[in-house]
This record gives sequence, structure tokens and C-alpha cells, in this order.
Amino acid sequence: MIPIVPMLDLSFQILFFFVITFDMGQQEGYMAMNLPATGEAKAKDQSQVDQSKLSDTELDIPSDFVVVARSYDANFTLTVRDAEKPTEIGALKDLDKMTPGEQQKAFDELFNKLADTLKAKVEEKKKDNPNAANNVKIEANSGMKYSHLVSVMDACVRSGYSQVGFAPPPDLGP
Amino acid sequence: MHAGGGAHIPELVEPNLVPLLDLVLQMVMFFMATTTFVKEERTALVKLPTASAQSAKPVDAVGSDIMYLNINDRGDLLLNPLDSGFGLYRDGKIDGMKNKTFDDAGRVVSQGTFDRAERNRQIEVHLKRAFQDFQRDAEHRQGDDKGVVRTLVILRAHQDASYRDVYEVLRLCRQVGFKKMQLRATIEQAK
Repeated sequence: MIPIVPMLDLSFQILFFFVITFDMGQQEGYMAMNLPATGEAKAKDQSQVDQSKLSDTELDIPSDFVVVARSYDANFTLTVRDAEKPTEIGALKDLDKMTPGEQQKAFDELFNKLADTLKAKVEEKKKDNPNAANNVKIEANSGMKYSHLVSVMDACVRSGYSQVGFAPPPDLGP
Repeated sequence: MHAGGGAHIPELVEPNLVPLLDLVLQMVMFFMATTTFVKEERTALVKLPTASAQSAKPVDAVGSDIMYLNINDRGDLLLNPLDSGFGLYRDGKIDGMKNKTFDDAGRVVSQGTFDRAERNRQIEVHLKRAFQDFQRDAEHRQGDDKGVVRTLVILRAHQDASYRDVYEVLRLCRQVGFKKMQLRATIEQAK
């Protein structure tokens, strides 16, 4: 006779293992991005790029505007800068006096505002030229928390800019 | 053989296979679980930032030509124990700590002092060596893309890392020659 009890013990262990490792909330996703340029662009156009050369001579993909994010101590500001002038999206102050929940809410509001502004811009552009390039660059200072950077990137992609690139932090020495 | 009995009674000796079965199945499970984690290089030291489901796409097949870069909250590059460069760094990460000392058991005795330039240099050396490895593989390939490195670099950075830490790794990746890059984030659940 086959003893069924140890088999059952084992089955419960397996079941338990799968139950505790099953975690929908931790699903990992990928975000596409453009690599930052490392050197000066030597070719005038993407078609003139010498494929055999190292990538630091490649042309950085131009973007029509830059999302400028600054985070110093307890302050956080977001600005959109295009060819003409910068437009402030919003600023958060005294973040250190807020509870984590309040902070989260303030950040969510700010990033939603950014997404709305960018959406308006992209619609305006698509009206003139349906095939307009949809790339945007993010310029953050070096102390910016990575999670905030990803949120800014998230807002850009949500509003229709699928090509996100990163500008070097302006406060980073050469 | 029974000592006292006159009649010969054949004794039925059956090996108990159940504990063996338990052990084998447990081992199979162990290897199943660990190989996935080693292959995907997920680590509890890296807590990914969250992004909405619109911008963070679920990961399906990434292929085999990939390289993971895990960055912790201090901006240190965590190395995979299977990586050939792992042996150079006794605690498995490139953290740019100068004069760090270990005891015989490999525990850190003194943390040393942080040197960002040194860390960047070490990361650059590490990436350069990795790129050369991929290039060597590419040379053995047949077809149009012979010798062309098409490795996808997957950056998994901790949510509390600074932009500077991430940016420097991105810049170095591009500098050594990697062209395809992808960031990883946790997909936000719908509220």
C-alpha cells in the first residue's frame, strides 16, 4: 500500500510555497528610453552617422522641449522649457513637514498636472503635423531621487511622448 | 533468516522511498526557484520605483542577449555572483569605498571612505570588460550582425538612488558602447 500521508505533506508544502510567492503587486515592467549622449555630435544628421564609430560620436536625438525637474532639500519644482520660454508646472515646498501620505498626494497631483500640460502640447502639435516626432528630454539635478525621476518619465509617456531621453544634470561638473 | 523458526519464511524488505521522494522533490523545487532568481538577478536590496501601467510595459521575452545592472540605494553597482568580475570585489558590489578592510571571514571591518570618482572608474572598467565579452561572443556569430554588440542593458535601480548615480551608469554604458537600454520599474496597481 502506498502511504499517502507524506505525499500529502509534501503537496501542502508545495502549495504553501506557491501561495506565499504569488505576488501580483510586484510585477516588474520595463520602460524604454534613449541613452544620454556622451560627447559632441559630429554628424549633422542621423543618416550621416558612421556606424563603425563608437556611440559617443553619435547624434543625440533632438527634442522640442525639456522637462526641467529640480529637487533641493524640501522643495521640488517642475518646469517645461521649449524653444521660446519656460513654463512653470508647479512647485512643492516644505515637503519635510508633510506626512508621507501627504507628500505622495502632492507629488501625484504635480505629476498629473505635468501629464495634462504635455498632453495639451502633444495634441496641439499633432494637429499641425500628425507625424511629428514625439520625443522629450528630462533634465533633473543630480540630487533628484530616482523614484521621482521615474514618475516624471511616467508622466511624459502617459501623455504620449514615447521617446524619453535624459539630459546631463546641470550641476554635475565636467 | 529467522533463528528460531523451523520453516523458511521469506521476509519482505521494501525500501522506504517516500522520504527520498520528499527530498528529491524539495531539491527540484529549490533549484527551480534559485535558477530563476539568479537568471533574472532579482535582489531584495533593490526596491524598484513605481510607474503607471501605461508607461511600464509587462516584461515578456527579453531574449538571452541581456545584461542586468542592479543599483542599490547608495548608487553602488551590485554584482552577480556568476559574473567573472565578482571575485575582484569581496562583498559583491562596486561601492567606491577606499581602504575598506575585511576580516578572515569576509566581513567588513572598516567601511573606508567613499570616493565617487573611484567608483565611476571601477564601474567603467567593469562595463568595458563586460562589453568586450559580449563583443567576443558577437564575433563568433554568423550573418549580418557579426561582431555587432546588440546586448540589451537592463537597469534596475533602487527608488532612493539619486539621479546622479543612475545618470553616471547610463553615461558609462553608452561610453563603452552599449546601445540598447531599458529601465525597470514596478507596475503600479490600479486604485
